Amino acid sequence: MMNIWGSEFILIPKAKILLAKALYFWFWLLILLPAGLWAQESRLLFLPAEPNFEHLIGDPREAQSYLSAQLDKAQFDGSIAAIIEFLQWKPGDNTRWGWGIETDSFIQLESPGYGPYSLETLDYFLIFPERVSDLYLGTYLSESSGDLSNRLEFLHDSSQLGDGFFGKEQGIIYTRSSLRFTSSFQPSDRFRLYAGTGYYIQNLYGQPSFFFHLGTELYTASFGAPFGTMGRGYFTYDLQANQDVIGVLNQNFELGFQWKWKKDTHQAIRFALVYYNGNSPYGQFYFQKDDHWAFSLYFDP
Amino acid sequence: MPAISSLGLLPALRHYLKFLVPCVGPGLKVSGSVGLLMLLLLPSTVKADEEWIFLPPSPLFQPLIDDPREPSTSLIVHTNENRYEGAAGATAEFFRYLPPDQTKWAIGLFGSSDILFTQMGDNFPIKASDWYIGLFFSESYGAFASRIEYEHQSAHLGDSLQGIQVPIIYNGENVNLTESFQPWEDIRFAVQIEKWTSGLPEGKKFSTSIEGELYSPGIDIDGTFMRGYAAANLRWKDEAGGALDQNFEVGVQWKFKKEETRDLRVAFVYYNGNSQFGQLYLNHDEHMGIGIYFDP
Repeated sequence: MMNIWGSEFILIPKAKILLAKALYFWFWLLILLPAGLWAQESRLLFLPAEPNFEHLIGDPREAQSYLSAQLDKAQFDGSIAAIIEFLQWKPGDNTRWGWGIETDSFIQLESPGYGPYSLETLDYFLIFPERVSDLYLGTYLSESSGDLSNRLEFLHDSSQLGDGFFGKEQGIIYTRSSLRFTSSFQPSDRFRLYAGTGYYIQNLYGQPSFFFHLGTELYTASFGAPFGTMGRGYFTYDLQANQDVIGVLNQNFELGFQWKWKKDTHQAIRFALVYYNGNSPYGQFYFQKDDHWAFSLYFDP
Repeated sequence: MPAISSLGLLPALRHYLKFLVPCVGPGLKVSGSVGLLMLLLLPSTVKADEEWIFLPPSPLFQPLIDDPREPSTSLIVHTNENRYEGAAGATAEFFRYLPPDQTKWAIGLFGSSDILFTQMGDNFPIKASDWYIGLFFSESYGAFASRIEYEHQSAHLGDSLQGIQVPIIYNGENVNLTESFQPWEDIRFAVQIEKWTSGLPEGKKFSTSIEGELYSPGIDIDGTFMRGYAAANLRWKDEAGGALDQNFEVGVQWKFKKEETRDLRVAFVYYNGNSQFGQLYLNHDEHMGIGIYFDP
């Protein structure tokens, strides 16, 4: 048994102080906040099943879990995401407020073809070494009222070269933090328009810069599926422009099918044909052109 | 894989499928079998005394809260070393079937990403990361719950060790069965056996674990539910010549409602065994930490 409080104990670094502050904040939030908010018609939900701000399904960097196979390259993408909305507050004036954290791990595999799967027997199989992975972690505050919804995020992201490419490329330090604001307008359940802007307040790999973001989601009429579930077709277009790569527009198109248990839930499974054109969304290849088609399967929270 | 970007879309698609089929063949067989089974089992009409739930927000089989590799979202700060662990986990239960005999059945996918990182100034370089993805089938009846998973794991070295350490191949697929027994709401026992069907390093064929969870009586805080808990998870693996991994937690669980499964936990953690991260599986790891967990 080691002595954790003895000589091995390392002075508390900044992250531990941040964690302590977060716990302190949570303690007082727990003690003080609900008492005032339960009054009258106000309603406070803790850990609701679905986030207040419906995520942007056409944005390839939104927190959503998916599997994707590129159709013109031997590359495969995957993402595992979690959105944890701590609190959702309905003050009784038709607005709704949400606060939570979001995290997402993106990974890209690139197969060079067959390789020695077993170093002892020299059996050869298709191999899928990791090319790159990106990690996102952030917190958000959201508000919605009628057709409009807004989200303010503080997001940290970092990118790591995959160990399958250690012998081919030298990884760079890529880590950024940004503040971003997104507004969404959804006048009907068939149409959504959104736009946003942000600023990288910390950017080790370049100068702090602005970025801009807009997109749309179009849906067909819903039709009934077995067991009372529903399905509909959809199309999305997402456009992002970053100040530090002037002249480059990152565009993402999706044409697919969405399946839901019931109409009024966010949770869905989607299949889509995807076309992406712009610079790579992965930080390690931020300045490299990326133009690909893909077939993707999404799981929306 | 030859360059196929210049072939044109249809030839490229044919080439791609020729390339893809052998590598995802086993996966396609499994998902195809499951799909066929679903089509055969799903009745054309729903009887009045049975219920189907699609995409429920929480899984039927509740994760083992003290198993470090269950899919959940967490952050653990090691208190005796400058290390951190983070995880993002997701479970997508496709549907749940509640027949009139009081059993419950469910099927779905899960995935998780675990990373180990340290801190250097304002940077948090990554030492290792593990990825899991799989298919599960679960059943529950009264105090008993069962889950069978087909799981793929791969482990990667963090790029902060590029040029310092050579990555190994650590990956594979396993089938695991977990049985849970919860006679009262304050206590739960579980046992798991896991058989590796393929993967490296060779010699990694089997593991088994037991878990116990003990909860205190709950208290009401403005309508929310809070209780203390203690949990222990012991896992024996045949890799690395045989290793016993022990994980202990003492903490607080907080829920919006008592009957909900989603929760937030803060716990003091003690781990002793070989590293959970595949790239470091030969290294001994003993640490204490403070963790915050978000269970689905």
